[in-house]
Amino acid sequence: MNKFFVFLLILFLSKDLLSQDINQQAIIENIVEQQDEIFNLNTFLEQIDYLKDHPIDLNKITYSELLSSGLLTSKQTYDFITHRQQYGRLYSINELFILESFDSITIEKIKPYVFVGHSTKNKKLSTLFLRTSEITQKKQGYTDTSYLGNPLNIYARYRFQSNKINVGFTLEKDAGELLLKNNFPDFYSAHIFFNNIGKFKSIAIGDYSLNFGQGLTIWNGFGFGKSPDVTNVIKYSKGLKPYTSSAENTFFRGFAFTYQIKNFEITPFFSKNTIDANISEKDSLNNKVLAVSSIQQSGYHRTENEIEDKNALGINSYGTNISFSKNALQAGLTFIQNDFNANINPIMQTYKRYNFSGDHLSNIAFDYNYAWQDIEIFGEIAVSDNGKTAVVNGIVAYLSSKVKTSILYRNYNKAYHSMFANAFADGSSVANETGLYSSISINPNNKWRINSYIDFYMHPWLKFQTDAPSKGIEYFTQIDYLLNKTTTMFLRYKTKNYETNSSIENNVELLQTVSKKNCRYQIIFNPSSVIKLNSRVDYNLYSDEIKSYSGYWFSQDVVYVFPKKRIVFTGRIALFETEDYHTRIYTYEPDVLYDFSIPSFDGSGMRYVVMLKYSPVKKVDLWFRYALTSYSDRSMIGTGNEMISGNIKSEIKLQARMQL
Amino acid sequence: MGNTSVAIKNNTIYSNQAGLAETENIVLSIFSENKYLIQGWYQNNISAAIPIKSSVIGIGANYDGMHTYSNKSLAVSYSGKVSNEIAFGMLLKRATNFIQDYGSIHYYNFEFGILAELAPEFNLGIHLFNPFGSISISDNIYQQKSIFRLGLAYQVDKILLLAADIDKQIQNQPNIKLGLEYHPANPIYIRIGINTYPFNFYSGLGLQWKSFQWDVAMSFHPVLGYSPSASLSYSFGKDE
Repeated sequence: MNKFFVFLLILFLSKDLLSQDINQQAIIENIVEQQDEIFNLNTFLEQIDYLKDHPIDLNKITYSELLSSGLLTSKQTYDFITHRQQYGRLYSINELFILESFDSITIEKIKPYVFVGHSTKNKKLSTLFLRTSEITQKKQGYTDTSYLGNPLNIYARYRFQSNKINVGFTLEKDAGELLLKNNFPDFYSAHIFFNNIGKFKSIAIGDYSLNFGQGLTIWNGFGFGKSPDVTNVIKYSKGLKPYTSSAENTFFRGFAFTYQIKNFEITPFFSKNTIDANISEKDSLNNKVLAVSSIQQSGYHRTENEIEDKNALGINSYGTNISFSKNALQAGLTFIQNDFNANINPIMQTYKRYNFSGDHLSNIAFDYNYAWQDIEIFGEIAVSDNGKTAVVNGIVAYLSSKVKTSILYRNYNKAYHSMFANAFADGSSVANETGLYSSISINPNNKWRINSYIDFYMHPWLKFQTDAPSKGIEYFTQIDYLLNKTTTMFLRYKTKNYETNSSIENNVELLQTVSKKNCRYQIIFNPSSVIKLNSRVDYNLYSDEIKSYSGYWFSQDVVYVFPKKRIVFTGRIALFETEDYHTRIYTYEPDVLYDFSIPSFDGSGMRYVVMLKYSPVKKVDLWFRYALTSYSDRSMIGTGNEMISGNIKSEIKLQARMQL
Repeated sequence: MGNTSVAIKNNTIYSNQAGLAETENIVLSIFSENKYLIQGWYQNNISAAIPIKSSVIGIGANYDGMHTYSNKSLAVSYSGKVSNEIAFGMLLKRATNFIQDYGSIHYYNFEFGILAELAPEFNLGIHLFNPFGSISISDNIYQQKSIFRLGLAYQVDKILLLAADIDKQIQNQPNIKLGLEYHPANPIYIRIGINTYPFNFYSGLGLQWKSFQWDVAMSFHPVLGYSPSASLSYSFGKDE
């Protein structure tokens, strides 16, 4: 359970049907802006939904489980567990009022997710999801048949969840991909997952994900770094979980389990999987892949080239994690060995000099987390088999009930290698970065909140489009104001100054400092469970040594719940104008459940989104979504195979969810 | 008040139509402005707001221009309340652009607005001008650019009202508007306002007497000069 999402979801008032939390969206937008990649976030919303149907037993849950659920802060978790150890089991949730760190808002918020005594919730859940979408206009790739399949996106997912067993499968076909023989989709994933069988805390067969430590060795799926929840920088490892996402390249396939002995949990795992990669050398006799130059992350298999790269590289991964948990101390040791069935030989460019090459890669790491009264310290140190290290250490402290701070230091060697790491960083990989991040969160009263961070970082070696070691600074401040129970607003300001290649040709100075500023103002008005308004204005400024570019975004969202709650209407109208690709605006858009839309807009035009959710009977939900962008500055949209002629791009999406 | 009308309830269909939703009586308004003291260049309009059951229908006619170039339109509006706190309004306009020696173009335009009472003293207004593009009737295609307006109004106390808007039209810089209304004693209202793009300074005086509201204003553009305006509205029905 990601601590961010659940904690923030709870922190702000949210009516049941309109609970897309603004800070949650902001975090996701921030990640996408920083890393230019879309992470697949389905898993997290699913977990929150899961918790509602399978609430936590407050009398049985352990310290580390409660901490990783994200429902409480580490101080509250520590206080609660200590209290329970001293005074025995709770008989009512309201007993939590005794604890100083619990207030009425927190207790109200966690009530739907926890219980004391006997749970009255459903024990078994069986859900089928079907979704299809299509871009209405014809892309160039279909006209000249570079894309071999049809333009439909198809997605199907089945899950069965009970206390002891989780079973599920996912099938997906992206636009442009062919259906395989027997009409089988391009991507498929399945899992069987057991919970609490004797001393086995979990057993996974099929596809699973692993998350350990602070992410320096293995952390599948969503990773986060700097965000508006400035002091939440600690990762709480979720260990072994079934893999249910449709991101095609970041999971394990095989067998794993977690075994519990006293205060220890051991998670050995084994995986035999394939990933997409660019083939650089093939044995002409038997067509066996001998070497690949890079790993492909997109998951697309639409054109002949993309199909050739599909599953080109085999990876056998195995290893184990041993973690120890007692009271407020947690520690872990993780080991992973990856064997590839071909050599990874990156194409030699100076900035790739320290990139991984070879046919095997292993990592070992030690992580710890200790909370004492108002302070929590955490960290991890990892080594890859070439002897290079990655280290992260930090402190989160409550200086008073109104002020929380955090400091995080990271040092990732330029030659540290890992396959599955995902940790706190400015860049997108866990390598070639050192930095110091510090933040403060101030709650002077119930109405105001100020969150601020500053991050200094450095890349000791070259990067893509940065031909010398470089550095950067990022400042962020957000002021939230709760006007009353129904209205919140915030003002956000962020500046990032970083170095990249000079724009002036043949400049004696290799690098220039570029400055990116954003300012955003947003108001959310939620007067009842029937209607919600969200207004937003953004201003971006990008300046390099030659020019400055600006960008604007204005949008208005409306969510309206019809009487009897059978139909929910969501609409958005937005106007955007950006002078340059550098000032493009990323925005989280209203979308169907568990699908994410974080498009970026550059140029100028209008954006319209209309969505209807209809629940004809209790266990069935249907969604219809129509989105359209109308550009006022161009007559062709996109490039290459993605090009559309005209200035309009629209998408239709349908989704159904059935509880069987 | 510098045209900072998005979050304020006005009596005319020519501002945020959502502001009409609470009108309880039939209101008739007329408005006239002489642009930059140039003879012959006027904007005149007349509009009426008619409450029907729980919504308000508005009609209006507008003329802007001079004998060589003008824009004439007829409009109908509909406003209602979605909840106690949120009102919406929309307007459909049929307009004609006339240029001497060239002819006329006819088109339809649409406007939509929302007014939300965030707190008793705090209003939020959103207004969209031409969000979906104009529909032309003649052979020539005429497009007006969409405008997105967002505004806040804060009633500090019985005497003072502050308002701020930001307007954005594609290919123009955003126009930040600030306005202030001072109501020292019945029946007097004193208003001043500023727009940033294009830069304009506004000042005005209003008188509210029984069912009449009478306003005069003067706007000042640093290059083009002064534009005086006046408006009068009458509210049929019981005195408030």
